[in-house]
Amino acid sequence: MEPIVFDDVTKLYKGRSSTSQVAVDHLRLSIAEGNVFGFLGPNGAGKSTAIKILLNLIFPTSGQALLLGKPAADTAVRSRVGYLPESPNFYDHLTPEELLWFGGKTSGLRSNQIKERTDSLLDLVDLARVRRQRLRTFSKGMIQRAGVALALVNDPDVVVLDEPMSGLDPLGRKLMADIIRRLKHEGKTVFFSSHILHDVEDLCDQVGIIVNARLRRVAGLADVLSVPATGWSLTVKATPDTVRSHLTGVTATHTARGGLTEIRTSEMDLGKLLDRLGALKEGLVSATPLRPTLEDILLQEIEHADGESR
Amino acid sequence: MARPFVLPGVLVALIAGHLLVAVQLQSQRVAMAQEREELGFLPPAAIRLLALDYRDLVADLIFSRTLSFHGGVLKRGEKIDARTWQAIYRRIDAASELDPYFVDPYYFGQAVLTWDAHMPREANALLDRGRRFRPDDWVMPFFMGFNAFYFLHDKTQGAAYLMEASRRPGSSPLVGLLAARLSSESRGTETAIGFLQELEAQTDDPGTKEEMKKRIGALRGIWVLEQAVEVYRDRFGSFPADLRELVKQGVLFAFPSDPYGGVFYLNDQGKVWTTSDLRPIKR
Amino acid sequence: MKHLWPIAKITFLEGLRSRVFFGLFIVALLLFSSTYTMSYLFPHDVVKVAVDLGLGITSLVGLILTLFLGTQLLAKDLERRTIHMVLAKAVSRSEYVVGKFAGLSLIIVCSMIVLGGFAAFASWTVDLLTADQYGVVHWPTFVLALSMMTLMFMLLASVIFFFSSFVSSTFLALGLTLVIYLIGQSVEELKHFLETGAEGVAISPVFLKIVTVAYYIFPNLAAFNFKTQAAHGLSVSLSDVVWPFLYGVFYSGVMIASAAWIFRRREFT
Repeated sequence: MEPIVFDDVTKLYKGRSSTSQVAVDHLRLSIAEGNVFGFLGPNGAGKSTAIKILLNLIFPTSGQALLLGKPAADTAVRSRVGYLPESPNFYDHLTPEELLWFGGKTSGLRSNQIKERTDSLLDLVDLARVRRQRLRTFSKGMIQRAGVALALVNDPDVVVLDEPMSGLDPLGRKLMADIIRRLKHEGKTVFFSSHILHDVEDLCDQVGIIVNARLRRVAGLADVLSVPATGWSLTVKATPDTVRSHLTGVTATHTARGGLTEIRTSEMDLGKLLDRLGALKEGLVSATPLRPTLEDILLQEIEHADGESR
Repeated sequence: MARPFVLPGVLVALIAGHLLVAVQLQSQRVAMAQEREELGFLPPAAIRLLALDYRDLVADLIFSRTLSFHGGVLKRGEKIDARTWQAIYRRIDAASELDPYFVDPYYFGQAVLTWDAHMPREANALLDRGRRFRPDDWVMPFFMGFNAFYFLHDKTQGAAYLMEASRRPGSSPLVGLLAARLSSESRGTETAIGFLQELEAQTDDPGTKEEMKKRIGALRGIWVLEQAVEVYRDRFGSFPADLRELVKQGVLFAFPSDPYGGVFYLNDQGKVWTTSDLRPIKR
Repeated sequence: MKHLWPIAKITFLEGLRSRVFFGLFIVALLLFSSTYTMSYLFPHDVVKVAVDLGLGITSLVGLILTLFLGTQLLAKDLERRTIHMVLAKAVSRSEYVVGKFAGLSLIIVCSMIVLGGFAAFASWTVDLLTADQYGVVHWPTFVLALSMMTLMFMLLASVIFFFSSFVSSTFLALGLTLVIYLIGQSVEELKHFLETGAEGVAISPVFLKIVTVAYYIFPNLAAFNFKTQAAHGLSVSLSDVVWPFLYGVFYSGVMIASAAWIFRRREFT
């Protein structure tokens, strides 16, 4: 039994006139137990709508979403699910401790279980020092972490995270990534949405790409990223003038980057470029392949989808 | 170029302007208040509708404003004209309609509407509400009885109210006695003194007590003179031309004085009264 | 309905710690202190006026508190989408509405105990400092008046919940509830006035019908006013209390059930 199933889910929003807008178009998707699934798409593609349908905050126009084999409308099943809303807001005057008490109680936990989970989770999200401080004094990142603790307080089998990385600083992103890895290690099923490719790369077993309300592609991560690199970016410790003098005959662009110079070139010209740069006494600082960004992949998907529909 | 005096200058000008405007506003508000007075007062039904959950408080407020208005007029020694008395009556009436159990409007109404405003009918209309809503309060029918007898010259009605008062708990035995005397006798002033003595005994406020004593003193003077006039008429077969005659002719040993500072005289109907009209005279 | 208590508790804490709450109590304290000067302006019914002031201030502060906390606790939940985190737990929509109402009711009851305590203290001291012929406080009716006032505010809170269930703006919910309060306080008086008729005023039967219908639709909040009885210690019969009590319970029940019903169909985007 797959823990998360979208069974031909469609959501229409009725507009002011007779026109109605499609937010989710015939979504068919199921996620296997223990998988980390990244739900990708640009803003407004329908990611949040799909997630809210899964949690019964929004009702599908047709089709249905299943959680752990039960319809999303089943209240009780949510005691085995954790959810982190997109840029969450909690009650300003509560403390993390009280927030987790609430989450635990509503999931049917006993008081001693709640205490245990609270201690370990607040350590995990690094909020143990401020456990009795009101949430109104918290930064956005701290709120997000409190939200993660709330989502996990009931030790859920399924964890749904809506844009968990957005608005976090690098440290916060790392913490979030660690948590997701840990959940995977514990065998939980994780479903999270993002519009940043980097988040997905390291974490997901599987990605789904949704564009304009339609799921375009579901694949293992490797498949998605097997798109050939479009070029290379090299950074050297040299002034642009020095670089320019070495680049005659090579197709490349260069830009100054605070004492360093970034050179971009195609896959084809890489070898020739490296030869030239070898003559340069200054060292090579970095060399990275230019992977298509999510934006590029999405655009590709949109073009692809358009071609299909024709 | 720095102009260090501009801002302070502007500030001073603004403050001066503000003071001017504030003074103007004040006088405009006073004029407006007088205009509102002309326009009259909301009918009690409308007040009840607008008072929401605060009917009792509104009653207190209306009453206290009337009280302080009346006090202010007295303090300034101004005379209250008939129209203003009507306005005062309407406010007391409204306060008591909003809270018919509220004692103060009745006492105040009795104190000012009868002696000062010459509105005994209105006073009794007001008190009648108190009589109905406060069935255990003997003072309400007692006041009404007094007003009926003394101001409205209706002895039968007066006696009936007094009988009702005497049956209510806490009333003095004197009330029953007064009721009996009222239904049998015609000696008005003497009965009135009896009433007032009873009223005085009921009062604890030293100011009111003093006022009552003054009034009793004045009525005693009138009573003495009335008796002397009777004797004079028996002896000479006519009213004296002047009350001083009574002393000259030996009917009276000494001429009584009015505690209010007035002078007793004999009016056209052959009744003894005083130039003070039983109110303090400003000198 | 097994998750009522967690929802009620966080609602209670959230309301109790908000600044509105604290500020209003300071204002109330200042207002109550006016009792000492105000009531002595009256020659006879000193204690009556003290009780009027005490209960009147309690009613005013209680009203503001109910309106602000009521709209803040529910409409703000929707506006700031705090509700997502609650409903994502194993909490049904009905549990959410009823639990929230229970929490708000708890706040109302607690505030009324505190405010009523202030009012009682002020009235009691005036009573103590004043000779008995200037009136005494009639404690049983005093407590009754406070209890009925509490019930009235709970009814009003249920009306706020009803509006908040389909209106998404806090401001609109507040405005609508305020209108209901004004109508509820005066509809009985208006109906009475129209029925008995004013002299020289012709009242159209259609208007009278409208007012009669309004009387049954809008809550009759004047029925919960026992302040006059408390101030004068008038006797109150059992049926004087039982019917308003039942009325309050049923009216609130209808409002909350409707709110829950609307909530069940509502989507939270």
